[in-house]
Amino acid sequence: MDVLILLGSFLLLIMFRVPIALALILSSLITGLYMDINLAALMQRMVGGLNSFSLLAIPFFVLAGEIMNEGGISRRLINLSNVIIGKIRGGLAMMNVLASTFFGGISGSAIADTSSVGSVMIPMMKKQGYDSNFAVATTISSSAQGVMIPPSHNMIIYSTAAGGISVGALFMGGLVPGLLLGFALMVITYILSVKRNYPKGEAVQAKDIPRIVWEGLLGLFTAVIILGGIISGFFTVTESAAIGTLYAFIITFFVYRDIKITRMGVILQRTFKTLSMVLFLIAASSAFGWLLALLKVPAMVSNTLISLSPNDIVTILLIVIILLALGMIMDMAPLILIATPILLPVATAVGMDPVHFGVVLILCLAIGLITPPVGTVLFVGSAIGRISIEESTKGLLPFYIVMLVILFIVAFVPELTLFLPNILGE
Amino acid sequence: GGNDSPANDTETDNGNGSADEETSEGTEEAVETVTLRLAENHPEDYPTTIGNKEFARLVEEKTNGRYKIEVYAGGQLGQESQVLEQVQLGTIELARVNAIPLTQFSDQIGVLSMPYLFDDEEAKWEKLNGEVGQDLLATLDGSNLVGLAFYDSGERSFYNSERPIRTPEDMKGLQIRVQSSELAIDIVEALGGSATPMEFGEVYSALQTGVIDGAENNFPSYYTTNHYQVAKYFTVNGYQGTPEVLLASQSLWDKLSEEDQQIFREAALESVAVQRAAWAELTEKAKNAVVEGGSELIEVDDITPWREAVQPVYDKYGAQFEEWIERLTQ
Amino acid sequence: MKVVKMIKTGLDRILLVSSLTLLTAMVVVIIYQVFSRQVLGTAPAWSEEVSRLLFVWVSFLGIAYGFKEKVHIGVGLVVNKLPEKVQDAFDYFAKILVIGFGILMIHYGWQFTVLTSTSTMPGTGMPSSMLYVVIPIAGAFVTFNGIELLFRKGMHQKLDDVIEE
Ligand code: NA
Ligand code: NA
Repeated sequence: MDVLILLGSFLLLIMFRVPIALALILSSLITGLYMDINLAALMQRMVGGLNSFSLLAIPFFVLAGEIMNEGGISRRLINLSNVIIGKIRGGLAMMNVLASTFFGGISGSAIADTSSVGSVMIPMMKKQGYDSNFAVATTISSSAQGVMIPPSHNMIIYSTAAGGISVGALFMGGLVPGLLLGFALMVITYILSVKRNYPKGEAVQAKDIPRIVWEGLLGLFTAVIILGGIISGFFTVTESAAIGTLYAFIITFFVYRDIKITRMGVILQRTFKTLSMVLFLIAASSAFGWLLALLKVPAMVSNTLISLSPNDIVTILLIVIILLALGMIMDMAPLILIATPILLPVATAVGMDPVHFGVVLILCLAIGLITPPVGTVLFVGSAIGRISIEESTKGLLPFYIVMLVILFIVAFVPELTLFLPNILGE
Repeated sequence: GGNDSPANDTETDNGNGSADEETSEGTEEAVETVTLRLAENHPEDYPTTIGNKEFARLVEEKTNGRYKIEVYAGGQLGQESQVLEQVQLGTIELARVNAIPLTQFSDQIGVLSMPYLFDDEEAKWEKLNGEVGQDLLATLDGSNLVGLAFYDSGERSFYNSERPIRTPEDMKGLQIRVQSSELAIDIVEALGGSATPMEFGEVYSALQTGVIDGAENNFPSYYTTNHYQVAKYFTVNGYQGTPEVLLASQSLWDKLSEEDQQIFREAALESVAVQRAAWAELTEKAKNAVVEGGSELIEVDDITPWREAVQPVYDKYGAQFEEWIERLTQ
Repeated sequence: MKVVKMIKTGLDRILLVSSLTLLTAMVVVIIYQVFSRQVLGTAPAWSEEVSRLLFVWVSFLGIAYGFKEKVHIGVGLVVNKLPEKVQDAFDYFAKILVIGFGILMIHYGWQFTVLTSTSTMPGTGMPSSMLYVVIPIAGAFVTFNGIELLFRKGMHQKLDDVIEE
């Protein structure tokens, strides 16, 4: 009964368009009331969900992203991609994908990627004669990839939810699948461009190349600092994020110098705005998840799943399907927090490594970001491209197929995820 | 984890959290079964969890099934300090936590973290299971927590990647990771090392890369964290043995009849033996495993120079714990 | 009405300025901790606890700010298909829930703050209630912003706003 009230009131509130985070905490409060629990306990769980040192890396990743974004990083990454890949057929579209791969190495936010890279690239692509839905589709499918490529604050949320799995290992684990996904998206982009006879890109003037490459690499070095700091063990994750932010600050205001330091006020405000969304979700999910644990839901679901499926492959398949389905209707952060305690025991029971499971989880939910009916990145991308969700979805069909293929490869070839963390002893 | 405990599969009331009512056949009156939650942050098969389950079994047996205790292992209900607050609120009725976070509520309990406090294990457990132990737990009064019994978490010792440590002199110049508390820092500094507070999860790679030279912990942790792979000199010289504590919420306690309170206390104290046996077994297992893995155990025959070296710690904190040190060591 | 508006504008300003100050302080504390560990060779026992405290404060003040800026995303699979009048009615309902949530935060947050006032945080020795007192404070701002929402249209950010960022 308690479980029904919790899930039922949550679904009802969501359908009534109550913000997801609010729906999570309100349904928890309603259930708490019914179970005669002191509601102060749920307030404490909201604080408890946030009160962890590794989560502190999130504000830094967001801040570093905002600083670099405001300082013109996306233009530089697009230019860099142009040097590398611009000249061939479908060059602009492939630049779009490559720029997102680079962008993913600096930020973990697919929305930020879509809105910054997309607002430059989509109009450019349309002007050169690409179909609108293709322009939007390349933009948003490649943004989903950035969630996999480290740094990624969603990996940190997973690490917390999974009870402190090494963030370094997760970052290294996400790298190869992320790059593989980027490569696959590039291939499909190229094939479609050739088939539909999209134009070649324009060559970059030779004299500009050194500056473009230099400035692009300077930006990408943020990722090297963050990853290097974590992997070498010289910094904790949070400390690495802080150093990366400091570096982004210096590059933006003392090297790029597109903007004045007085813009920091606006940058901080924007960071705060993004944070308020993510952190409320974390707080509310943590209260919701605590009630689920109290009601023994994780144990029930895990036991049922394990007893239901005849073998390990079917179980993994089930996990992937559940995650894809949930990802279609819900946001990433709360799903990571709520699904992890439920599905991780199932995954480990069939021999999945927690790092491998984490990468599969994030990939499933990243696909969820760009699928209807609820996909934040899909919404933002469609709005930028000024086309309907239906239209974008049509353009995305070949991309979904590619992403699913990569997902199954990643899910069933654990070595792909695990060999890097293993080499580095994480 | 990995090992699943079959004990969990016998539960009949999955899905309902608090106070269930069941009718048991055979008795004249309907017996009301109250289900209580016990929060445990260690995994299913860990010694403290084994102790919790023994406690649960004893309570159920002694109350003829009027009270049933469900153990939520693996930190499902939150980290220790957060669980403590839930116990204060009464949302979680029972919990097993380390004594260290309890010093937030009663600083007197901090005495149990003093270095080289007891002469040996036997003396330690005689005191902790006896009147002094109960009196010390009673200092939690007023914070909505009721201490029931102490559990064993062994002795913490130093290990490092540089050289065998036999005397405090050997500690000189070594960077030792400690928990972030003033006492922990003071102990290491008194012994001549330099203390570095750091998050636990970061220690392995910090040892590997040489950011720190050593750390301190008990055998099971030394083993399960794989620290033995990167810091092979383990000095068997337990310097600190802060125990674990089994506790109840005040609101549960107030609802229990006096006889039931007695039963809960007895059950808690009786479960200590099972818990300690499980601990000893785990320690032995871990010890063998690290030796097999190439660790060098350095036995310390004469503890006197170590006791003398930590005297500054007693000078600093001794006065505050005077009464307890006296009672615990007499 | 004008006075009410002025007060509300003042409150908004206080919320934003204090949040950004705490956010900046948090960044500075962590950078100091890195510096301290890497350069001075030892990290202070307080820095981690203080930065977590600041993080919790920033997060909770952010909840209130988020309602004002309409950043907390809603889904509304069903509602979105309905006529705008009906949609507004649903939004009105959600706004009342915001106010209710704010009031619960004040009430239970305060209760918890009092409960934890006797225990101390290990790193700094500050009372644990320092961590929790932000719940009722944020609750007050949530309530104010919820009331303000009643006089504004909608409660979700339009996607066009996202793009301008
Ligand atoms: Na990323
Ligand atoms: Na979706």
